[in-house]
Formats: sequence, C-alpha cells, structure tokens
Amino acid sequence: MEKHCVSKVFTKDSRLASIADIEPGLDRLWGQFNQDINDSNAVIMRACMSNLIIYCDTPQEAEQINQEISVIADEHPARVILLIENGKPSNGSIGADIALYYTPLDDGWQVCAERIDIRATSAMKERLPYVTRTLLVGDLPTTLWWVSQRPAPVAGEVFYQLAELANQVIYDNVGWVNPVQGVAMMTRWVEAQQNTQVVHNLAWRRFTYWRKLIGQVLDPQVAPGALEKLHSIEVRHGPHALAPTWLLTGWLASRLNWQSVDGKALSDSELIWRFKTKTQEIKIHVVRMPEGDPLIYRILFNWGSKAEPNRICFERVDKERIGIVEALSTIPARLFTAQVPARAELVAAQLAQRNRDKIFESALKASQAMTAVFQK
Amino acid sequence: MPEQYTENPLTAGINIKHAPQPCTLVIFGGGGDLTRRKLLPAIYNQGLEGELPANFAVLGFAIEAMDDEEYRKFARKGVEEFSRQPLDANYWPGFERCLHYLQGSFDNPDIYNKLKERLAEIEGNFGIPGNRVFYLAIPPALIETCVCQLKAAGLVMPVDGNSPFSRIIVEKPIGKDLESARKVNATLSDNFDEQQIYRIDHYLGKETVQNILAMRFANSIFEPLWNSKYIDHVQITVAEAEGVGTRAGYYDKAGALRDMIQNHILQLLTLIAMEPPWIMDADVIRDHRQDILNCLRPITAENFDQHVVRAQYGPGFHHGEDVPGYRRENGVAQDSITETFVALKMFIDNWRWSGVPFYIRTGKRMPKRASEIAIQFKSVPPILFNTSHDVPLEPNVLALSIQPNEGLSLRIATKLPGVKLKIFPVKMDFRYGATFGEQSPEAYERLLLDVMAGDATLFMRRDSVESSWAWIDNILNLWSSNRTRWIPEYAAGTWGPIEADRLIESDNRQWRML
Repeated sequence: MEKHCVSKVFTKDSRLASIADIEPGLDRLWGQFNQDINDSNAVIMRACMSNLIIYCDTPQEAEQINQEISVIADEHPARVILLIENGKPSNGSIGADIALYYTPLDDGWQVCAERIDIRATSAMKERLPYVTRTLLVGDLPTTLWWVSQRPAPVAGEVFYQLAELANQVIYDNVGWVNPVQGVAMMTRWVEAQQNTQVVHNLAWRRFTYWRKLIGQVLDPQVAPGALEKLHSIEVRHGPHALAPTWLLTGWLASRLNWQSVDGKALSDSELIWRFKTKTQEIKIHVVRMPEGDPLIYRILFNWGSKAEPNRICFERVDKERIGIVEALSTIPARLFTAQVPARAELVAAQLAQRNRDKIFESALKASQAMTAVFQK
Repeated sequence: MPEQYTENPLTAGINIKHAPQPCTLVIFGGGGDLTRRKLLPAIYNQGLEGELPANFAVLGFAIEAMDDEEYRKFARKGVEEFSRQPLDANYWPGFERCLHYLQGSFDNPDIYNKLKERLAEIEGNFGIPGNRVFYLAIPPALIETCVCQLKAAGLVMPVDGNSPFSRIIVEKPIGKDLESARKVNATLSDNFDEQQIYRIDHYLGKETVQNILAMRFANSIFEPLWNSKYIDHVQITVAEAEGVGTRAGYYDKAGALRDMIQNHILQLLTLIAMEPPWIMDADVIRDHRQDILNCLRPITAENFDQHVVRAQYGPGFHHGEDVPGYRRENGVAQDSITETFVALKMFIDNWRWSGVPFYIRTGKRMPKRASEIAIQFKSVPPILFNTSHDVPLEPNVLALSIQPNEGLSLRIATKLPGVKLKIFPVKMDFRYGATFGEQSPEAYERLLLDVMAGDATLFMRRDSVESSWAWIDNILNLWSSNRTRWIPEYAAGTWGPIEADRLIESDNRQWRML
C-alpha cells in the first residue's frame, strides 16, 4: 500500500551563485524544461497549492527529506523551500539550489513543485527567515514543517520568525530526546498562539486510526458502560515513542474528563499515571519495549467490576494491520487495515488542513497537565 | 464524567459528520452484476482505506446458490476485476470474514425469518448493535415484494431515537413515469419512514458534482455573476461513446429521456441553478433543489418542436471500427423508435434565471465519453476589443467537467504577446487528478458511507423524484400522442442529429465542441 511516487526531478544547472539569483534561476529552469520537453504540442501546467517551508538542523536530515518531497508534491503541489542549518554552501556562508518536480499528464506535463534549497552555516542561520520571506508565492497558504529533532521553541528566534510567516506549523514529537521537557515547551508555545495558527503534531495524525478504532469499539452502543467503568489501561510502545504515547493518554484524559493525579517512572522503560473521575480511579501503565519501531504496539483496556470484568486489547499485528483480541483469547478476532503511514504522506495530508484541531489541542493541554504531576 | 455516555466522546474530531455507524449491509441481489462490479469493490476500497466502521458486516441475499465461502470467492473476483485499488493479499483475509451470504427467493416469507436469524448471528459475532442498511440492487419490479416482506418480518425498526436504525437504499429507476413512481414511493412510505429511504443516483456521488456547491458558495467571484444578468446560457452534456451494449432489455423500454434526463441531468441542473442554502443540511439542500424543479417551465404542445429533439443512432464508427445502428443491436426491436439521444431547451422561471436557456443533450454512441456543464457568460459589448463583426470575441465560459477527467476550466480572453493588438482565448484548467494527486473515491464508495452515516444530502427525496417525473411525463405524453414510427437518426460517432443543431442554432448559439 506504500504510495507510488510519480513525479520526476528536473535540475539542470541548478546550483546558484547567490540568493538573488533564485527567481531568475527558476525562470531559466522553466525555460530549459520547456526546451527539453521538445514536443511542440505538449502543454506544461504549473500547479501550486501552498508554500512549504521545511526546516532541517543538518544536511543528514535534509538528505532524508529528499525522497519525501516527491511524495508530498505528488499529492499537494507546492513551492518547497528547504532550509538547512549547518549546511555546506558551495561558496560563501549561504547558498541555494533549485529544482522542478514534474509529472506526465495525458496531454503534456505538470510541474507540481519548485524546490529551493537554502544552505546556511550555523552562524548565518538568522538570515534564513529573511531569505524565506522573499521567496514565498503570494496568495497561497504557507506551512512550516519543523523537521528538526529539537522541540521548535528551543531554536528560538529562527523558529519564531519562520512561524510568523506560516499559517500552519507541523512538527513531529517522535524521537524527541527529552519528551517531558519537549511536551511542556511545545504546549506553552501552542497555547500562546491564541487561534492565529494551525499547529499540528504528526504523531497525532499517525494515530488517527487508533483513535478511530478505539472510539468505535468502545462506543456506548457497542460496549455499553465501557467508557464509564474503565479502570486500567496498559500501553506498550517501541523505542522513541513515549511522546506520542503521552499524547494518546492526554487524548483519553481530555475526552473522558479525567483529572491527572500523579505519574512516576517505575524504571527506565516503565511508567505509570493515575487519573481520577468522580467515581473511578484509572491507572495507565506504559511499557517501552526493548526493540521495535517508534510505534504504539498494544493497548489493553480493562473495565467493569471484579464480578463482571471486561477487557479488550488492540494490537499492532504488523505495519499494515491492527487486530482486536477480545476477552481472554490471544488470537485477533478481527483485523483492520491500519498501515503505518510514511511521514511524507502525513505531511501531504496535513497541508490540506486549514482549521485548528481543537481535539488535538485539548489532548495537548491534558498532556501538559500530566507533565505537571509527573515525578521523574 | 456522566453516569452513562449517550454520545461517544472518543469519536469527536474524527470526521464526525461522515462517521459511518456500526451496521450490517444487507444486499438484495447480492449475487448480481451491480453488486459484483460496483458495490463489493466500493466496500472493499473503503475497508482498505480504513473508512468502514470497525463493527461492520455484509450479508449478500439473492437467489443464486452460494454459501459464505463461495460468496467470498465471488466477491474476490469482483474486486480483482473492478476495484479502484488492486486486491491486497494481506488485507483480503481479514476483510472477507465480514462477507456472508444467504440464498433465497425474495417472495418467500420464510426466508425473511432466516434472514432475521442470520442477522442476529452476524450482529452477535461482529458486535453490531442491530443497525441495518438494506440495499435493493434488484429489478424495480421486485421492490414492492422485498419492502413489504421486510416490514412483515419485523426487520424495519421505527425511527424513535432509541431503536437501532434500519435504512433502505433504492436504485433508479424509481418508476417509469409519474404514476408508477408514485406507486413505488407509496410502497416505500408504507413500510419505511422517509428519513430511512435513500434513493441513490450515483451521479450525485461524483467529486465534481459535489464540487458544484463548493465552487458556487465557497468563492465570492462566481455567485454575483450567477444570474440572468451575466449568464447567456448553460449547456449540460452527458455523452456516452458506448452503444446500448447488454442493457437493451431495459433501455429499449426506457430510452434516453428516462435513463439520463429524469434523474442524472435534472439533478445536475438543480445543483447549478439552486439558491444558496443557509446550512449544509440534507433537507435544506434538497428543499432548495426542489424549488428549481418547481420552477421548470413545462413543455407544451405549442412549444414542443422548439424545445425537444429526440433521435436514434444509426450505423457509424467507434474508434475507427464499424458499429451497427441501434435497431441492429442485440435485444432491440427492429422497428424500435426508442430515443438514444435527446436535446432539450429548458427554462427555469424564477427571478435568477428568467430568460436564460438551459440546453441539454445526452446520447449514446457519441464521439467520446464526456459529461460537462458549461456556463457561458454574456459577450462583452461590441466596442474596444470586440469590434469585429465577423470574428466576435469568444465569451467567457466556465466548464465543469464531470467525466472522464473531473475538473473545471475557465476560458478568458488575453492579448497575444507582440506589438500588434491581438486578442486570443486561453483556457485556465484545473483537474482534480492532476492537482490533488490522490484518486477520487468512486461515487458508490462515498454514497454507501453517507448512508451508514445517515447523511441524505446526495440522495433524492420523494418530492424531487415525483416532480422530475411530472415534468418528464409532459414530453413522454406528447411523444406518445404523436403516432409516427419515424425518429431522426444520427450516425454513430457523431454529436447527434441535425435537428439538435437547429434547436440551438435558431437562438444564434452553438453546441460546445467537447
């Protein structure tokens, strides 16, 4: 089910002497592309739905992004401005490369992305927002995708200035070195935006399917009383997936009106949270598996009384499926497609979103409340 | 936290309007062609994309002898052949477990008790709280039997807010004229509440059709121009390249007017012409569409010849190959005068559209498959750039293409580069497939999910079906009062008969070249 990428890259004479040469360079590239097509009947169309600013800390991060841009452009044509801090400009301290991404249509070609890479030495990183400002296409929404592994506010002024240019900020908390600190910083910043921007965590979109499935299976129509009588939940996740697990728990707490009581680390790989409602105490036990991908692998819900216990277990069977194991069985009774989405697909899908996600924000707020009561 | 949740707090924010509810889909005619080609592939695609409810099952119900295993093989073949996405070997085993089959005759009351038992068993296994969608993929003659038997067997739950839902999907045609449509509707209403009835017209599930409302009411530039002051006329074309094919049995009795205009085209017309709804609510939108049907100027004996043309395709060419005329097709009577082409000039007698003609044409064996709605704006005054009487400037045209390439284009006049002042028309094109990359879901996929979610916006209401038939009946009656056995002919592979050209050319306009 992995998305097949159809666009190709056109990069003739793409390395530019200076930042000032970017727009003329793109015009030249368009001209060369027209000539190279060499078919007088072909039509070249330009599709552009957004400006997409991508921020990377290192050339290694940028290298990973390289393949992903095609996937994004296929689904959401855009002007892509890739900013690389600690990059190695060919001469001077800041430099640029340009490229076109194109796809064949029935009766011609469509250019679905113009890509501009800006490489700056660490000392020149403050200039990146200034360069970016000149390159945005007017009348289009702008998204900042914060690829850096640092929580965005840590980057300070560079992030704040870039965020000001954008209608939407996308980040990903998978792999954050210090999830507790990261959640706190990011939540504070999101709260400070006060409805001016859409802020989105890719981890949230990554577990949309979990939310959907849990919501449907524990629906009051399907499992009466389950939501009211939940008393313990066990979550198993792979390495580097604590921050998303934190968010998932925050979502449950915010939707079900649980109050955080406390939380503590039991060991390097285990922690526990306690919540309460008027009638119930809920314990969430989180275990990090020694190996695996940064994913949530298993969620077990227990509800009911001692006399009438109920449980249901959601388990990731593989990268494409989640199974539901009911009662005391170990075999998934039902299997659902829940492909682990590629990061580029998540970004492409998020680019089309224009509204703030209030459910995400309340989950984030609840995550913050959990951070406040957590004892390291 | 409440004592007991009545709403589900965990589904908030997950596309709530279109959240399909847990249910069993019972397909009457579950072994038929529509099920194999459209319904099962649609369900499969939605499952593959994770759009189906977690608690969901299908029960095919038909006369063909099959058990569950054989039905799964039948479904697999359909998916392999007709699905938008290829069969995923990893996904299929989990998916096929939700497919079940019950063999029986629709007129046998006992089989409905078996149906009830089977449903209870499936619902127990799949955790489905008794919600059921009955899809009647059957010939119209069987609707009454099935609907009455369902009710008699106690399979139709009341709409009281406490009971699980029972919904029924009915395929077109709903009747063959006003009288028969009323009869079908009365049968449905005797057994189901109107809010449980979903009359499906797959055209309304197409992306561009849904985009008509978005284009009109999510942009401020079109709506001020969307009236008789600025619009010269509207053309709606639904052209098919294929001949009658295997549908001769049905088509020879129906003809193009019943097959295409009564449902698809009149529905398109209502979306183009309706007043802005004040809320995206199924009944509000359907009320506004109904207003348009109420305003259609009736075709009368006096204006008939200037407003209606029918024709039948004769022999000709398709993709460079010889193709026979309609009367030589298998299953068609040699003296048939069934129309395979209709052109109409229509008027909507309300304030907005007063005096604006809507030209409609639909036909089989046309040069290509193309469906389009074109809004032609009035010409600029004959001054400045438009002074040449021989070559007037082409007026602006906004064209909404429905198939095969969904999208829209706008024709505007621009100056050609150079020292001379030359004006040239250019086309600004937007294509769904090219711009958004992602494949649009098939119409049936969207519509099935809408039924599971209880959203009837894209389905026809009883009054709309009957108003359409009332308007169409005028034409049918005038045709039948004319006892001629002659019908104009057009060569297969052309855009229709000369009479259709005359219909529009008499107003100094032309059909668009598609």
